[in-house]
Amino acid sequence: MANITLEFDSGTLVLDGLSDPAAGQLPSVTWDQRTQQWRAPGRAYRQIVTRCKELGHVLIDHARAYETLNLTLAEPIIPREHQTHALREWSSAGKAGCVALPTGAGKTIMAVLAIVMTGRSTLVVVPTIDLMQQWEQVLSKFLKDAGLPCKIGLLGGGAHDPQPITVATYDSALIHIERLGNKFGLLIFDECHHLPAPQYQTIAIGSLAPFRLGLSATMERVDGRESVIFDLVGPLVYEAQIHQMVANVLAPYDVYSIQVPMSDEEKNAYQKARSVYTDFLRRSGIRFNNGADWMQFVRMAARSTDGREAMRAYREQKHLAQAASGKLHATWDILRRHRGEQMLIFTDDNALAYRIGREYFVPVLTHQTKVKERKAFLDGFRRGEISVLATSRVLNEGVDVPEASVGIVLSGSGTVREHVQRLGRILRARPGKRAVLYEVISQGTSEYFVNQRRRQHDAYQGSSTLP
Amino acid sequence: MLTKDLLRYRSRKDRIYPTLIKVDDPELLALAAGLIQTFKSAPGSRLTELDDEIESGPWLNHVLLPAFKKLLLDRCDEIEEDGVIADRRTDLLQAAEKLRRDGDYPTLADFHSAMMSHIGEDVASMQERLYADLAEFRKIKTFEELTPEALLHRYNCAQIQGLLLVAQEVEVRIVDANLAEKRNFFRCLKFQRLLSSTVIDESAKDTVCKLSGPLKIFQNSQSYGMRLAQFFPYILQMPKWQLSAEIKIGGKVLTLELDHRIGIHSHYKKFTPFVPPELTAFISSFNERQGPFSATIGEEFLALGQQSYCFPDVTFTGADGGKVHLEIFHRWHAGQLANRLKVLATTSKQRLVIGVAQDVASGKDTAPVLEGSAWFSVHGFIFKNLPTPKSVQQVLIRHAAASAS
Repeated sequence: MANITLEFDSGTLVLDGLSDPAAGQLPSVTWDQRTQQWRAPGRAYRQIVTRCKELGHVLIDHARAYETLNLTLAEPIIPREHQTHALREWSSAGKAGCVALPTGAGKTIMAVLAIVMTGRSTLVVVPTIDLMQQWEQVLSKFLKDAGLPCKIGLLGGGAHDPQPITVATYDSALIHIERLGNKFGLLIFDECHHLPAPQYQTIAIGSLAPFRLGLSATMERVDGRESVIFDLVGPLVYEAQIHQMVANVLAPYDVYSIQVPMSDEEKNAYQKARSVYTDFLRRSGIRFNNGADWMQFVRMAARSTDGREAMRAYREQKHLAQAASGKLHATWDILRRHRGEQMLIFTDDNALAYRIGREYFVPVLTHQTKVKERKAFLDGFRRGEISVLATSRVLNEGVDVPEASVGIVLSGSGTVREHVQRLGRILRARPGKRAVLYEVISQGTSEYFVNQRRRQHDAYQGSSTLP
Repeated sequence: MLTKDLLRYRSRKDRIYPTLIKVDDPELLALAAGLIQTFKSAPGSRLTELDDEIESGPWLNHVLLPAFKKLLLDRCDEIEEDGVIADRRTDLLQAAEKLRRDGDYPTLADFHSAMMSHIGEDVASMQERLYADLAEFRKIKTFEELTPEALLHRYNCAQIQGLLLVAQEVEVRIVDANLAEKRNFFRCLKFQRLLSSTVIDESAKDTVCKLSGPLKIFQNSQSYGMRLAQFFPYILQMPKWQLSAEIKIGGKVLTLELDHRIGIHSHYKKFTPFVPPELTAFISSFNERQGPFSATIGEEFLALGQQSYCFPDVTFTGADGGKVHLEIFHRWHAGQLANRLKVLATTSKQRLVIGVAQDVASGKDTAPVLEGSAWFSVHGFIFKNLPTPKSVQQVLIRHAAASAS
């Protein structure tokens, strides 16, 4: 039996009073030659405390700085069946695990219930400032601490106000986790498929929160690193797919792919640029079998005049395909067809989003949009005062725009994840609602093949047509 | 700093070699001078106008243009928009929304005509001002000037910083640095929240440090890369140094090895050591007493353990050549005193005595710490304004007796 002092040090735990054999009995504890101390990653806190108790050690815990809160709901929530089920599974897993629910299925509400159930200081980590604001609104509405309205702290987008319940962007959480990693007992990762990024992992590793919840519409990653999420947060405890929820929870939908021809001028320019680009790839032996091949192309492109020319050609052919003039006319037709409905136009980059904005005189939402205007656009859209919103990628994730019923995808990354996320934006159920997603692609370009590949996903099955 | 696509390096076997430029190359100096001149006249212009001007220069296809441009843009501040454009945008968007709701326009051209009639302005002009406050249209407020040679040094530094961004750990050997330079080195290390395992190579009088962060021993990622990269210009300030780092790039782990002979000038402000005249006066007065010790300005630093480094103010040399150091705590670094005593209580015997100013010692937080420190009762003393030779000699005697036992 030993008297062990536990301190939090910049995302790690420093253990004092340990002998070599005692240290060997504790999980993740390592001798740090640099400081001549026993050290463990913050995430090992739960296991170390549990093990110390089992071994009968006296633990003087200076590490834990999170609070036990008396949280209640400010207004009642009647969870839907899948939310109750997910919450039960998460609780059974020791309040450490992941839940995959399609957009619109109520992940945030499920998280509110998890926060109340856990009753600990909580850090919610989200990918965008829009989501941070949205979480703040939901948590402020539903949470009470000791019978009083709960002040929600924010970290990110210029805000630095940590509170017992705080919402932070991934980037801000990463910056502050060394100082705040011991101040939260529950960590919630929204859109947790971001977590395997090497830098973001530090948030989960450097935090001592014993309770963890990962939320996403789909855990799948192109690089197959979803196992990292389960290691850092906990196992997948509940999962539901879009098609399981259509009719009961989500609106039914159709997906249409519209191929538009390029003008002769655009076609010639496209083919010319594409051949410069593909010739360089061929000469350099680059095949794009994985992400490293892209980096190889970027590096090689920077090293020679030919390479820089190839990079310019790559950008040009991509731009020509994504922003072909035919797409603008096709989009105008769609806007007319759905006049009076709430529509979202998605692009891959800001340049095309702003081009759309200028052509149709519609609001554009990108990461460049200032916070005040961003809020005004989203509020106006929710109230029905704005019927068309163009965006690049910032609305891909999480932001709640339940009124949207039409989505127009003009360009994108081509990944299944992005498609599912964009589709999810228009699927919030409403009586009588039938959502429509249009994908507008340039004929005879690489966009066609990307579209074909994506159509193999479950979300397309049985509901997509090519008019 | 530079983005990945602007880094230039070669790799051979398991080594990586940054492609550095000659800082006295006339062609590069001319390119730098031309670009700096363009940037000097940029304040007041929009970023797009600056881009146009750069692209119309004779250097358009120069391989270093994008990197030089990035480094110079980093030295620009932009003018914040006053919100007038956003207000006009709201008006235009509301008008367009109403037109689309109320009327059906078969073509985009029909819609544009309706907008022209409604607003009384031609479409191109409305389109131009609609999003005129985007980053690329913002105006440059200031440009922080530098010399062409400094830009070339900055470029070389940024090439290495770009590689260190993906380093997991860096080993630095500092050679021939004086105490003030080492003090600055460790002060900056602490400022960057980096940890170091430090070995003092007595034979070569070198200091060898492995730099990383607290989590490094648990996480093989480049979490501390940014800090290591930001710390690198401090290494450049050392008179002689060697650096070795493992760089994870393109799926490979490659070794980067560099030393002071690369000749890059640091762009960080250099710390200038300052010895207070009172301290010089104390040393003279102490030596005039001709006791068993002679005093000099502190000449070495002590690694006390647990990331605690002590840079003594005075070093005393006994008749046998043995050295004892004095660290003085005044008000402005009193905050470190409690931690210093905690470390000294747990680490092995140090050749160190401590003097604490009276106003610090009587503070409500410090007084109980000093009273409770067995180490301080032997190796410490309290002084009023400055330590007196007498009080220091007394503590040196107590220290010698304790060390002998």
